[in-house]
Amino acid sequence: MTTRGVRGGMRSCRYCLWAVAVLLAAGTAVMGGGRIARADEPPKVDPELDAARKHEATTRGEESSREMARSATREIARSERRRSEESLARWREVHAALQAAIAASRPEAELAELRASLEERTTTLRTDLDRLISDTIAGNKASNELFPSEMALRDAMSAVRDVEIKPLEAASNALADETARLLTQAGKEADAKAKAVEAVAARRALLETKAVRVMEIQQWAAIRKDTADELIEQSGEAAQIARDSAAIETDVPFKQRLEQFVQQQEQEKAAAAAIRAEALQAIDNADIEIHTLRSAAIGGLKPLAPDQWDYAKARHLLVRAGFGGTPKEVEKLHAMGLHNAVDFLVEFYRQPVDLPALELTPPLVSDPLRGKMRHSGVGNRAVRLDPQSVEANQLIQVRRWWLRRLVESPRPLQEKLTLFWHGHFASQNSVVNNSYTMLRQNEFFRQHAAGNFGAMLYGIVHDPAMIRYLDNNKNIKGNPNENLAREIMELFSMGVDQGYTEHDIVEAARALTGYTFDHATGTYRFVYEHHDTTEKTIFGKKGTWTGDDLVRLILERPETSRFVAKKLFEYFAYQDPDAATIDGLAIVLSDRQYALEPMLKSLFLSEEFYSARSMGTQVKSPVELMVGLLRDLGVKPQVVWQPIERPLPKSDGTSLVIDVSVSSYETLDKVLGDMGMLLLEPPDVKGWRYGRPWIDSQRLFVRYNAVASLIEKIGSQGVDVVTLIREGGCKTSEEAVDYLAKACLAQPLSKEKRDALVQHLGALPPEGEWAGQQGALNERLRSLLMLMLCVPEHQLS
Amino acid sequence: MKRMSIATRREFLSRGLGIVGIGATLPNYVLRTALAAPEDDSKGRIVVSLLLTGGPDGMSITVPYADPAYYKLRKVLAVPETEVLKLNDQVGLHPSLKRIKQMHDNGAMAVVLGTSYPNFNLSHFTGREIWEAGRHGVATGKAGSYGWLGKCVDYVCKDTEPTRNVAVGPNGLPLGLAGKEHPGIGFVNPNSFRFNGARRTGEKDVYSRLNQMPATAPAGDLEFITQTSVNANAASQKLGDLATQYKTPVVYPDTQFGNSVKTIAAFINGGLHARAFYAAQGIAIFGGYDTHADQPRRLGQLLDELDGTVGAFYEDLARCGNADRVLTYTYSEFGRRAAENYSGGTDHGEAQPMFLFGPGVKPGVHAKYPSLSELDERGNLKMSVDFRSVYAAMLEKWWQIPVEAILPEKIAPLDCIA
Repeated sequence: MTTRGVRGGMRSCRYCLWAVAVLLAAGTAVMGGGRIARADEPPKVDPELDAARKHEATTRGEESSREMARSATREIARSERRRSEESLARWREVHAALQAAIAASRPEAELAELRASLEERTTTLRTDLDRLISDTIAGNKASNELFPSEMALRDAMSAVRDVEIKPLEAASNALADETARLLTQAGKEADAKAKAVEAVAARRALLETKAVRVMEIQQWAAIRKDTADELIEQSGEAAQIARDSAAIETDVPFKQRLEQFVQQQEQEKAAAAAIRAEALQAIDNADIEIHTLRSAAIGGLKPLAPDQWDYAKARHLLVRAGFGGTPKEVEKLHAMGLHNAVDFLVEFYRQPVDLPALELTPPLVSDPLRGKMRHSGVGNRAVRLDPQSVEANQLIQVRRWWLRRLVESPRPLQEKLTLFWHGHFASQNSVVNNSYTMLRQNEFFRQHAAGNFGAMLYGIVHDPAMIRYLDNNKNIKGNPNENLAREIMELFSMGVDQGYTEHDIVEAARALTGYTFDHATGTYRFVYEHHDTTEKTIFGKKGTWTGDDLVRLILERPETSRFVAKKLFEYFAYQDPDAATIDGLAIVLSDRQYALEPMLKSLFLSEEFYSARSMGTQVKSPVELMVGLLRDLGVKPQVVWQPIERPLPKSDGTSLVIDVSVSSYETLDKVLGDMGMLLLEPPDVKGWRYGRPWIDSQRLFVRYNAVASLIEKIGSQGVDVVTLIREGGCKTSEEAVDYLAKACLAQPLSKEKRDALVQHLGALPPEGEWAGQQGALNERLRSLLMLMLCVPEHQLS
Repeated sequence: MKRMSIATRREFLSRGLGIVGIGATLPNYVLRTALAAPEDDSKGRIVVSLLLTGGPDGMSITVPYADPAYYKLRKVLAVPETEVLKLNDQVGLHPSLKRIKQMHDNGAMAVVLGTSYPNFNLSHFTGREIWEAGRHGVATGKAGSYGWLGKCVDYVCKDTEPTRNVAVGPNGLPLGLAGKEHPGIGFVNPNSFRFNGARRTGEKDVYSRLNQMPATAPAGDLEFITQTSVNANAASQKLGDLATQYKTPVVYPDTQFGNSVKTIAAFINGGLHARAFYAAQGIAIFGGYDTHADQPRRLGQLLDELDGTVGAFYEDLARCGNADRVLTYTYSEFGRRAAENYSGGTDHGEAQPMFLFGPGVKPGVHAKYPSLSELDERGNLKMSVDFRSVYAAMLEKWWQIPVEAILPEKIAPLDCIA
């Protein structure tokens, strides 16, 4: 009874879902066509749609009655199975008791009683089996009649969708044609743009309705699979009971009947299994189709054909949308298929993170009394109480804490984006001088990493570290400071000299007056008395604008979506993309009110992202180089949270790290600084310059040396290169070189370089002997790996 | 076929006999390197460019102490007349610039007032690029982007010797030094200016083979990185030795900038055949001269460091008889606003003074002080001279290069070089 209730509940639930989907699609259709039905007007009825809906209703009626029949017979068959099982068990009990009594030579009277009892049990069992056979056959019949009925309803629903899709398709095509026509006319650029926005919305409505159609088909496949599962259970269990009963049956004709039934049920089960397999295949096929339609509905760039997806592209995705990974991790991503792999990386919030949070004490206000203290004694004793020293210690903790996330987080794209936003909304701690607010800012970037750009821009004008960095705490009514106002347009949203004037900056500075922060708590504060409430003119619009209004005005500018799209594309793909590529992504951004996730998906799915211009062409930033190597090899440095009690020695830039240890994040942090990428210290408010500027002769040496000394020590971190190549199925030195190159390099090595490395490694002993020479072999392989990674090719990803 | 490993021109020439056999497969740049006769330029003229990062406040550095308008614009920040180191009856230096004042008095310092350029840009980054390229629209770090000094080195040195243009300090190579044939060397210190990875037998040799330019040069950034690697490996020993073995009694400020300029002295006094150097002041120190707030303290620290460094540099060069052939100039992305702001600082402005150091200059104050009463519509000092006329003077007078070979148009030189 309970089972029936649950099943019945699920059944009605799937109709609810269907109804919701229909309503949604209808809503989309109305919106998409640009027609908004007025409440007092009777809705117009399309005869074709009406016919399709009527047909659907008829089919639905038939399907429901067949489903009710199936449910009823299925429950009856189930209870007959339980009854027969019980009967069989009772028969066995009595049979066992009789055997025991015979063995124990019990009195004949007792035996006779048991024999009579067994006889009774046999009769009951036969009666029960009779009912089992006929009710199971009836149940099977009802299920088998339901299948075509389910298909018919599925087809009827699709037919309704097909009719609904027609006008959407026509509207979308008409708008596309209209846009194209306007584009060819001089002076109609603005009209063309407006039409293009409408065309995108219409196309989206069309593709989404198509996606819903496939989702419905997929849902029917899932239902079909469930029906098949239940049929398999029904015939399987019934066959088993009949088989067990046949084994003890003494009456030959009845035994034969049972055996015949068993055979029949086995056939039934096999047929249902075939339907089940076919339904699963249909679910998978629909998955790809739904993904493709949904990503096309996002708009943006032309997606890669799913059959172009291969290992190299999976590695490219993992390296760019993250920092890289071991061959196993790349293989896992490859096996997911293009769409699921992109979803896996972009919807990173589905991956749990078990890395610890970092708790810092709030900022330390400088204490005037401390300045009056006399020195306590020789050296730096007790200096740890000094706020500056506590601050220096905290700062180092923040950097190492972040580095650990970069290396270990199961959400690599979240960290990669956090790094992007840190470079985009750049603040230098050496100016802010407050690690607490820098950590808060870093957490803000992480939280919004793939969220909404508008929310981010809004957050940044309220961000204490940024306010301090760009002197907005000094931006006061009557004495405006333009620093934040300028950079918010030039660097954060619109791009240098793009759509704003010097006058806009002066006015924007006034809008931002009074946006300050509280030193004691490191939190945002608005000081009304310092805010200029008079009228400002920004981008030609007059109003008593505040900083919040300024953000809105900036987001309304077309330059903003283009600037953000270009910068993100360049960060992930390649420099100087064509205008069409930027426009494709920018329209996704503005269409979705600056939501970043759809744009990122479009980017990572795009043909352009996997093109020759993109793959293997990007100069690795220092973080990409080092974190990438650690992730490629699967090394996790040890975490040592050692408080630093002495103030840091003054950096004069002359002591570069020569030896990089992977035993802690300490040297990793320093060596990144030597390569020009000390975290929390971008060079200026423009952030790091990606690409060629990472490379000069000095920095190339630092990069080579850091990698070489890291490889030298990976053995002590549990990285066994022998195991690595064994897992890669390598037998010869050629195979080992090729395998490691494939695992670590985005640019293939020339034949000459490959040969030099093969020669350097020398012939490998037969695999059986590897275990005996593990140490020596590892050293040879580390030497190979070190040389393979200290090459120009390894600087590119 | 066994490949020949060629790292430097010298090495190439010492193996010169091999050229007949494999010359056909060698890339052009190797041939050029090999065949161009080495110039005897051990006494060649040198230009050192010093970037004052952030846009210094010219009105506090070259103080118009005699102009009453100055004290109206700078109620809080004005340098008191009593502290000014007077250069003439109008202009004096910030009190921190004592050694620079001394150099002026000794005929080895010139200052050009009110330098800027038409179509002025107030972005830190674009501003710096314009100053370093000598023109608009050249972006850092792109293929085909060259700086004015890089072009000069290409013009003067008809070879591809990698150490002709060297940037010292941890901030990487600037656009200004980037040349076509001479991409330039970035150097921080000798311990890290070499490959430390090859410790076992055979590794050094394989490393060299993997870091050579292949017969068919790769495309794009891979070629750039390979070329950088070739140059770095070729220069490693030489620069490392010069920097390590350098001993001088002259004391430089023990700061990043001080040490960078000291290394430049080590290269020049050690006889490196370089023609252009670069060092930057201020990147590591609180955003450099970008003093939107707390200006007097920060500017004082920076000018102390600048004064000590430049003074020590010329003392050190003179000690080895090299001062005469070294011309140093300072520049920044822009100047600062004429009026002070409310934060005890100044905002981005236009015209800025440019210092020229070395016995080769025509000492004294050049160009007129921009008017403090007639500001532009944004309250900026108007430019009195295009900075490229100072470049033009260096080109014509110092290096004897036609101006239009380097700059986009023929610009008349300013008479500031002897």
